[in-house]
Amino acid sequence: MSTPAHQKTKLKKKSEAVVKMLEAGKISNKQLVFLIISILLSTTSIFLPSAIYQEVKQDAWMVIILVVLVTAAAAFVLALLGNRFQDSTIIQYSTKILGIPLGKVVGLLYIIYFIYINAIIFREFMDMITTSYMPETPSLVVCISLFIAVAYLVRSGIEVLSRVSEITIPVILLLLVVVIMMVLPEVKISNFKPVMETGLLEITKSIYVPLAFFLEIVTMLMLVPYVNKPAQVKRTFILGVVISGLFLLLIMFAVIGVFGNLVGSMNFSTLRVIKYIKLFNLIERVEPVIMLMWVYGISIKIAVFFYCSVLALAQWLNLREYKALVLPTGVIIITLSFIMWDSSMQLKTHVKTIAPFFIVVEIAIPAFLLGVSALRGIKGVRK
Amino acid sequence: MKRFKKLVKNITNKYTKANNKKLNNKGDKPGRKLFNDLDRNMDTAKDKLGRSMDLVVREFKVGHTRGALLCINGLVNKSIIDNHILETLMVHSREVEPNPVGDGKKLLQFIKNNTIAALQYEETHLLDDVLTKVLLGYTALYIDGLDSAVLINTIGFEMRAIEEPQTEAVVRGPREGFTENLQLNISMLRRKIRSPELRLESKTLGRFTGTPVCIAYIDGIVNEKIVEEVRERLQQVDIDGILESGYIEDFIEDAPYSIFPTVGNTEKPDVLAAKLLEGRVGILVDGTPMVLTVPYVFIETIQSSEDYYARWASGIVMRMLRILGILITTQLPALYVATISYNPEVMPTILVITVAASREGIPLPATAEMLILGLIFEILREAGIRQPRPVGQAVSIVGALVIGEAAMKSGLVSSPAVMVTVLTGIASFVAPAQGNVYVHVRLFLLFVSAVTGFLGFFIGNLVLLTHLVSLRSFGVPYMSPLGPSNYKGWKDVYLRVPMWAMIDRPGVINWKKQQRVNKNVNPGPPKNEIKKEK
Repeated sequence: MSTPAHQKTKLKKKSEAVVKMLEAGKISNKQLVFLIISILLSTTSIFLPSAIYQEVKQDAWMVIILVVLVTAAAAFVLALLGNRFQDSTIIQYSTKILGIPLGKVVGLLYIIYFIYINAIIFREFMDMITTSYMPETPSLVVCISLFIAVAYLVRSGIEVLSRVSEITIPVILLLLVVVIMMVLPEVKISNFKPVMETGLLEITKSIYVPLAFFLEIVTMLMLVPYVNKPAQVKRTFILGVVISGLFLLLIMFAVIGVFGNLVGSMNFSTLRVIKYIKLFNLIERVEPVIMLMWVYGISIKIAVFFYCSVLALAQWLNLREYKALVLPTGVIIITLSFIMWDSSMQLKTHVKTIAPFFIVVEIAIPAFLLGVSALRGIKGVRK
Repeated sequence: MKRFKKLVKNITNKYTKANNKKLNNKGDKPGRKLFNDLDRNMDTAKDKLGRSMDLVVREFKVGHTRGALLCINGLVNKSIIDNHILETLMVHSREVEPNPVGDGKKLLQFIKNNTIAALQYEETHLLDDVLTKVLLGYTALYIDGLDSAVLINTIGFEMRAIEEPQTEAVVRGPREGFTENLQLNISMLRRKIRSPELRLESKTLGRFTGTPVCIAYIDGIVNEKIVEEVRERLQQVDIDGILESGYIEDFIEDAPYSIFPTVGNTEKPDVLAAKLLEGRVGILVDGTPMVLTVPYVFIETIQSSEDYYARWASGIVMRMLRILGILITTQLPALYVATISYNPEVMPTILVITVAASREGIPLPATAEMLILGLIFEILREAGIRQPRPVGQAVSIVGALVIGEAAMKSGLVSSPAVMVTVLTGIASFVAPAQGNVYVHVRLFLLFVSAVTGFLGFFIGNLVLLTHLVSLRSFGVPYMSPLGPSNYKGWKDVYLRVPMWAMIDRPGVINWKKQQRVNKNVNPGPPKNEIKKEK
């Protein structure tokens, strides 16, 4: 079974060369935190509040705390895997760990996962824009204009992508805090009572949909080899999760505090909250601010998933360049986002049913890979 | 197809090779030597210079030997030649040494040692040397019977005095600006940085103009890689003439197709000195007061020398205003169009009613209104700049009246649109260095917001940001220290902290960590201050 030594080195060299050729950029751990916040916060902040509220009413904030704790633990496991293979992505080391046929299957699974999630986000974004802001604009226009920006971002490489996130995400977080401060006068504490009405069991049961969203952090396993200090990735992952969790908690607090029982029946409850802002008869209806936050947050999130899917595809097919894949992959994603669901309600229920599968891809497979690699004693090159 | 490509490659290869050969030959050729005979020498020199009307040849006698001076009228300082060369050669040498001084060589030695009362001279045997130096303003001294000439530095011509530059006016700070003369500019820089570490490297560019160019940097602060890169890029400049530093800028830019400049320029010695002290490299070009500085990052657009000369508090105010100005000049028209045509509900109710009332009966859509008014403003601005000052003022006043009063009263444009345009135009003067760049940005954003409202506006901004972030200037990311972020560098971005708090040089430009301020100095009254007892 053992391959000759010289062939082994040759193989190693080849894989390293592929990494170098595909993406020469380097990003800092700080930038990775911002990327994590962008993928964890931008969609969850729109969709999770009402989704969780429907399940557990006013105890929704507890669910988020629970989810953050579980995700932090999962992120730790993912970081261990990333740490073990600091020079390659999950697509590359899955073949190393499981052998060519099985490893390729796992790789394909991840490619499908990235594209699938991307299609979901595209659709969510379109629905939000067309229902809340521009009811007369065809969704295709929204979709394509977003796609142009995102494709440009992806083609510019991971360095540019992370720099953009580094500039925009802090502004978004700041705006979020300001907006929520403005809503504070409307918050009624009575909306949070009674505490634990549904019971701990219900709370634990309802965590899997938000968990599926939060475990999207698995995407970062595609970016670990491009990080400056891969050894510190554990801290980076957990920091990102905790920060996004805190902000989501803040949003949840505002939404429940303002609306109480109404949250369950709303589509975009966070958006509605913003409409409550009214200061000095001058600052009112600041929805464009929220739109700004989401356009930027979601663009970056889509770009990250898009980037990961093309990079994964290029690595899976052993290509020398990923830029040529941007347009075809984009066409597939946009088409999927149009044909898969008839309405946003269908999308919602669909996400609920598919969430367990996502969780398998997001944590079960990486944990399995980590276990097998530990048993077989396979390690990547440490930097 | 492949064959065709190969053919093209071959041809281009051949061409470039041949070209290189030609250039090399020109450089390597030893050139024609001078003759022994004065008359032949004079004739060839005159022929070579095409018997130009400004060529001056003065023949005279040193003792008993014939000699001649060759120079170009207008490039030389006549009083030096009259008093320190001609007089000493013709009169003094005879007084000191009444008898003839042996043969030509001894005579030349004597002249060099005893009679030429000028600081700088050199001897040459080559005609090419003589011609190039004479064209620079040197005077060539020929002695009959010698195959050599003495080139004496007599450069001196009329030039503009040092004045306050028009482009970077300040309330507080030095008023002097660079001139068109490279030597003077360099001396002005030297007077700012009196350190032996200031390095000035000379280069000549332009096949016909032979323009002297100088690379300036401070050894020990600058990143050597950047200097090396500057040298390499300047080496590649091959053009017939360089009349302004802009010619060079076009050749050494990182992003030639981008609308954003990746090479900075300044007209003031103090600004150049500050940039060199931060680790940048300056490129001084003869014939223009504009000095190039690299690497250039976006943040330099909002930095002005006065931020640092004024107290930090007012420095911060100025900087905030500049940021606001840039935001207004790029975003406001697009924001106006997106609001009016797509989501008017974002405005407060009273404002919506007011705006709607003033737009009543206006024949144009908001986008067209913005475009036309913007165009008129730009035309007025351009007309005002190129006209003589009194005329320019008249143009501005008439134009402003026409737009502001007549167009509005006649109901062609609405008053909010005029306000937006005027505010946009005025705000573009806040950061004058890139005033024209913002026209592109404004038009782009206006276009996307006209098509898809707020969504297009945000996405357009995202595309712009992506572009900005992807740029580099001599290896330095264009948007640093914002992205990639360097929070220490933020001391000099949105804010301007006091000088004693800006401890390190900007880490963006030189990767080495370098302190520029003594960390332990904190201004304030001394701790053991003696208090006056009442």
